Amino acid sequence: MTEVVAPIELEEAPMPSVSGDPLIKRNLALLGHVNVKLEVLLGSSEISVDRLFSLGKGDCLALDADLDALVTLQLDGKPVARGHLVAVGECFGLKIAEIL
Amino acid sequence: METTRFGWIGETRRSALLDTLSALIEDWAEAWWCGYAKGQLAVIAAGEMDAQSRLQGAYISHATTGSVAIHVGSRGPDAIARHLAATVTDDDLDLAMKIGEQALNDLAMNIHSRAGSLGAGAPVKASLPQSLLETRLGAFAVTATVGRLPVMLIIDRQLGERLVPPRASKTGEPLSTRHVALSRAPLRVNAVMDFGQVDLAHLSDLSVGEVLIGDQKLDEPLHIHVEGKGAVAVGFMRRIGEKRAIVIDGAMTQEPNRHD
Repeated sequence: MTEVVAPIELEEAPMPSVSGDPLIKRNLALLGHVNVKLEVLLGSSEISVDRLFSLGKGDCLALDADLDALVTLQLDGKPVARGHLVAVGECFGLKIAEIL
Repeated sequence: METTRFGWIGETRRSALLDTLSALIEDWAEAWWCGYAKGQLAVIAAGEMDAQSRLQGAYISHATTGSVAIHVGSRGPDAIARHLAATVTDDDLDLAMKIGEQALNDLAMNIHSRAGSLGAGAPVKASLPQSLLETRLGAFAVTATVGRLPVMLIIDRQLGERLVPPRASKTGEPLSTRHVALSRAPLRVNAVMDFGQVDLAHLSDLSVGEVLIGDQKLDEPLHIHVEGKGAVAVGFMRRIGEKRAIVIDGAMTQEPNRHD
């Protein structure tokens, strides 16, 4: 039997697109497997441009955070939790103190 | 991209330009006119560019310092030679034209030289560009009458500013370079730890009291970000008294990611 090979022609999509109710409900459980990158903000410091460009190895920048102040866990630059930095074996850990 | 500055030349500088161009024309006339007398020369600033300035027949000389157009009435440069020789015949037209062009070239070179140009193109007959036509672009014209010969000079803003540089502003503080002004500008730098990656399921289940374990080793450096974006240096967390501190260990070796 000889198969007929033919090009596929696509139907034109409606423009503008027809928008109705969202089909995918906002359920983060659907994204449970997605890995996200987290950052921990330890503190900040205000310095001048001159000071920034004169920093050398071994120079020390004092941060505005007290030693026992909570650090901030950030997801995509947004604070999502606060906690205490702890050591877990060879790695840092974060003991959650505040979370929504 | 060529740009032409917009704006009329102020009265103070128009006056100074008139004096400068008058002196240049006077020197030129004295050098070229036999039996020259100062009373034969009259130079006035032309008003707003009128139809006369748009006449064809202007000779334009360009230099890096700007451009000048010279117009000797409806006649060509040979009119200068005829005027010098006090003749109206067409005899020796080529010679008259050559002498006239040399005279125009001499005037143009004197003007460019005063403006500090080391070299300039000889005047050539051409249509006037916008920068020589529009007073709103800083074009400035003077009309001179040497004996009975009318001469119109038009200079562009660039040449005008070289002939009569703008005075420093007397108002306000002296300007600082942007580099100096920026040097004391405050920046907020953040000490940030790349904590690692977790799946959203784990993150969603987090509650107070739980410990989230990161990928960052205790002996790995932290990042210094400027204004929340772009890591510029790495360092290690230390303490200064009761405050956290960062001891700088090095600079980031690659350009910050634009999407950081």
